Amino acid sequence: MMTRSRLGRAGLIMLCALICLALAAPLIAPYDPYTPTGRPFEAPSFSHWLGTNDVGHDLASEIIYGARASLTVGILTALLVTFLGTAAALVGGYCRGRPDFALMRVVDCALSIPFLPLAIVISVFLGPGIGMEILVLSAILWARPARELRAQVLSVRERGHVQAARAMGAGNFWIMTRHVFPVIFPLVVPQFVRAANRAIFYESSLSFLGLGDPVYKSWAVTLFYANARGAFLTDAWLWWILPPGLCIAGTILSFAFIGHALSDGAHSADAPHRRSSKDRPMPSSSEDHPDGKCLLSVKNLVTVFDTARGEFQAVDGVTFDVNRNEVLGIVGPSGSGKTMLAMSILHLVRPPGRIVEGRIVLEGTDLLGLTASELRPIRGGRVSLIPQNAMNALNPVIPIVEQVAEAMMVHRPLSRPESRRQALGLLEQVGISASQAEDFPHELSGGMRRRVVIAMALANNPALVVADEPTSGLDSVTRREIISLLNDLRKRHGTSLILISHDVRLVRQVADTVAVMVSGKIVERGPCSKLAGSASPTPQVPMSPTSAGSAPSEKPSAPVVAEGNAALLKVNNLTRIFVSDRMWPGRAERRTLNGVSFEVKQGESVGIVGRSGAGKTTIARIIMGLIRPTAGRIFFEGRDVTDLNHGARRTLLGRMHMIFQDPYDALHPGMRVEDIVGEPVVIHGATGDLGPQDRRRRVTEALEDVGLTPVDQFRRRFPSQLSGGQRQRVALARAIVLRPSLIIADEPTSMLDSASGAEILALMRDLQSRHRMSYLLITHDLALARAFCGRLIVLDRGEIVEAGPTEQVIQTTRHPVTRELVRAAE
Amino acid sequence: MNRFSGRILAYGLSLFVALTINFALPRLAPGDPAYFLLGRAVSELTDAERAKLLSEVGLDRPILEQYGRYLAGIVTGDWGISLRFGKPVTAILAERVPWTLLLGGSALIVSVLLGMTLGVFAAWKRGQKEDIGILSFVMLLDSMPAFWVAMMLIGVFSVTLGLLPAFGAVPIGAAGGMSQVIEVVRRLILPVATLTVTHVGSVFLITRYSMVTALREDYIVMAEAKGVGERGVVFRHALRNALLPIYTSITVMLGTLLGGNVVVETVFAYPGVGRLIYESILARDYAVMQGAFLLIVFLVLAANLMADLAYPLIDPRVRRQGVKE
Repeated sequence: MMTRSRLGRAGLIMLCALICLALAAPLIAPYDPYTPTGRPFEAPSFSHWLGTNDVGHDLASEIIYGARASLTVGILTALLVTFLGTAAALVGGYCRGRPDFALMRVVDCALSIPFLPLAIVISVFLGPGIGMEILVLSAILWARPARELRAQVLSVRERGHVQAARAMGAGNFWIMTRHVFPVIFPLVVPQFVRAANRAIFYESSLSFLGLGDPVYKSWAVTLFYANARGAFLTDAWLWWILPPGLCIAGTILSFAFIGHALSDGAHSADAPHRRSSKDRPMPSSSEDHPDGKCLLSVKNLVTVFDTARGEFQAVDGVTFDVNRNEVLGIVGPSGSGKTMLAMSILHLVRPPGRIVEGRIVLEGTDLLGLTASELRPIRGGRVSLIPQNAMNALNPVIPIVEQVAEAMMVHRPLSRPESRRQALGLLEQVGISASQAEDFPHELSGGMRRRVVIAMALANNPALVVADEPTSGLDSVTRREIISLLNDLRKRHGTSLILISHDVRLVRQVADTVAVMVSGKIVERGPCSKLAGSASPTPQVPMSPTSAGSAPSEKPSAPVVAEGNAALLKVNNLTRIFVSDRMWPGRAERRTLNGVSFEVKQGESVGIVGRSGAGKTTIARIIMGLIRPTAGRIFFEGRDVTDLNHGARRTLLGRMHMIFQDPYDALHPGMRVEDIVGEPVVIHGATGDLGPQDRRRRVTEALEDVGLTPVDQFRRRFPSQLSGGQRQRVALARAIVLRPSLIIADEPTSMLDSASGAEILALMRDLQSRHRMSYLLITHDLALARAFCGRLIVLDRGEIVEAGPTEQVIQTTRHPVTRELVRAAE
Repeated sequence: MNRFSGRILAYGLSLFVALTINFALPRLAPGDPAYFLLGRAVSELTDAERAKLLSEVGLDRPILEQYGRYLAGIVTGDWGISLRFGKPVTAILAERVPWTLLLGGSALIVSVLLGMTLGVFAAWKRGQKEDIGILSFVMLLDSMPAFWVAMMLIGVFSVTLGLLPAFGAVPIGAAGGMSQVIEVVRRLILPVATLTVTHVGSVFLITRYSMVTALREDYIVMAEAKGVGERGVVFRHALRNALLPIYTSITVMLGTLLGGNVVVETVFAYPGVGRLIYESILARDYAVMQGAFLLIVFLVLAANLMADLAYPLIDPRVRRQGVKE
């Protein structure tokens, strides 16, 4: 980090100096560089600092004036290139389809034809001249920024806040200027710097070949003359060739330094991640008396993060024991330091995090007192980890069986075939057949990949397994399977387990003891049965206020629908066929939705439940007009809204709205809370009747409605200054600011910790009782839907398999998917 | 199959565009196209002589017909006649290609080996003194223009120290046999060194960046958690993954390497295709210049296509795509 900014500053200083040199050339240069002022080949002296060339021109003056030509070409070309590249990227990345396809083929061509020969051929025919040089270089260099920025535009347009804006009916121009461009702007700047770097580089090569502007002498033109007129035949080469070359190199280097400092990749790449070799093990004390029962003893552990604003204590004096064969559950809200604790136990904390004090005694050895090589047999041998994001914990280019075998081979003297044989057996145990063993991770589902990680963790019969959110991101059915697998294997191998999760329900199913962690401290600890009432299916806000159950605590009191209410939303026979590759018709066709029909009445809450991939989100996106159905119609308030264009859809904006799954993503990071909440009013106002006064009033009301009070404290904040729960409140405020009659909520709580999730649900119910809107709730969590919805629709593989009043669906399950979901929710 | 035909199409399109640029430039450029295509001051001729000349080379035909003939000529090996040598362009090019391939190939091998070694080492020591030192040094190398590096090397090793020859690829009046091979290698050292200096940077930077990115991945944490040693983590897990972007960037580098030959061959008077471009600019031998340009485009596209088709060999995700759900 330090090096990055230091290099960047050095680059800036160098560049500024060069620009000053160019601007002040007439003041600094001792002679006119275009008239002979000395004898030919004069050596450096007081009158000619760098001597003279073959016709007696003063070389120092030539270099000072040369800065003008070189920098002009570099900077003007870079401006042109950046402009062309950005425009092409925005158009291509946003329009997609045919314009994008055509544009990208042009970019392909421009990139695959070698730059320098092309530039040479073009300049030969177009003739010399500085303006021509700039045009030629721009025509050749724009393609790379265009391609790189387009990739960014493509990813930005999939972001939640762009989707949200489209769902609000915002037009293309609005989205491009307000939502896409500000996000990619930080990436445009490095492109400019790199273009300047390349432009100067190629200008110098062209000029050197005699294709430069002979009147407006750049540094490379000087070098061209030096080479062409035999500088090597005399001693003049040293002062004729060295200085202009240094100037070119210095200019390119200054741009390279600045570019490096700005580049996104270097941003974190320079932070030292590896523990440095200087990292001495901590002094270990000998007073640890392991008794037979106690396996792991963590004492007064403190792990900190070094941030720009000083140390942040992620783990703050944690002490606990784990006995043999015990399952310890650690629960807590997100950000409470659970993951840092897990990494600390294996002594795997990477900078900028570090362990400052404490002891981690495993089977009588203090892990913090060991060197890296002493730790290696313990990691994976005696204690192993199932990391958070186990989805990505497998090496993508190694077959899974080899990865499991590797875990054995590093700890035991096994031959390759023997370790493979054992690995196959282990994979069999976790439910992966021998035919899949040679697969690469990308060929397996998320659930399967977790099974592989579990197999790796158990490969050497460790005494302790640390599992960090082993089920996050899985649908409820798979989650259940993974947990029971983990539990079975643990019992069979006699392994202790530390299970870390924000999900109290999950921990209660498996753990003997539960510890509650809040802001880096363990605030409560005890046997599982004591902490949470074991009878009721939903915990009664058990131990501490921050760690409530993931389902709302009160018993379901979902609004009962009056039969006479009119249908607000009516979906008829909705079908969507997804064709994977449009260039080659007739390829993989997949029906993501197949003949789905349902209704939502005024003031009711309907839940769509199903496993992941069932097509739930597709329904929501079709209703909001983000994607088009292949067949079927949608009626909203009696009007057919299936094929509305942007302008017409905007009029619906005040009537229905959507809340997205990920509150981190659904809000534009560069907009303030009041602008985010006010955006629907502005978009709507473009067609209608709402002035700035009215807008401010509505925003205030909406923020009050969602409990972000006092409003003035939140109004000017950016999303990054809010917690996850607060962000979802902002999203909710944006949804209700125009008082819609329907809100579609797609997993509104799944990215939140359980306490915030429960608050959001309570708030949604509260808003419903005040404003009488309808909800269409989309979730994989039946417990949540049960608590919130009056009616349920169960979706499986794009078809409705069951529908009806909530309790009826749950009590009399007919379809196996419903049964799975019910079981998972218990 | 899809990927295969798609790549061939893309490269075919690029080739077509290059051919078209080549055809269009002399005709669109300011000035008399006859001058560019015939290389003579056409204005000095009488109208009758001029018309005769034009019809000889077909410049009086409709533009589409000219285009058709031009494309047909490219395919059948009729790339025009050199004014300077009075020989077919293809014959001149054929003499020069081996030298360009020798120079470019040697430089590619040296800079890839050196760049990757330094890149892996710097990523291993990332954020530490070694890394910062190598990084700054390589960025400095990367910013020096090739022709200047070449001139400085000549200035030091040939002019001042008199160690290595600075011009040509083979000595005049060569004896043949082993001593000739040694002479060829001696004449290769400075140009290869120049190209290495100017290309090692991009290999290094992409290697270091890919390695640093790979070392941050979750599978690295997993590898450490299962007890794999530092060497295994760096080489078996990180480098194996980092190879993919490195490979891609090396194929991209082929273009700049062969293109960059123009400058380096010029300074060292190396008898390759690049030097030929420079000579024909000076001699206003436009047919040869255009032929040399086309040849470089051919070489770069062919090399990229081969590299592209070989990519599935190193990336299992492309090799085995969508076999299962």
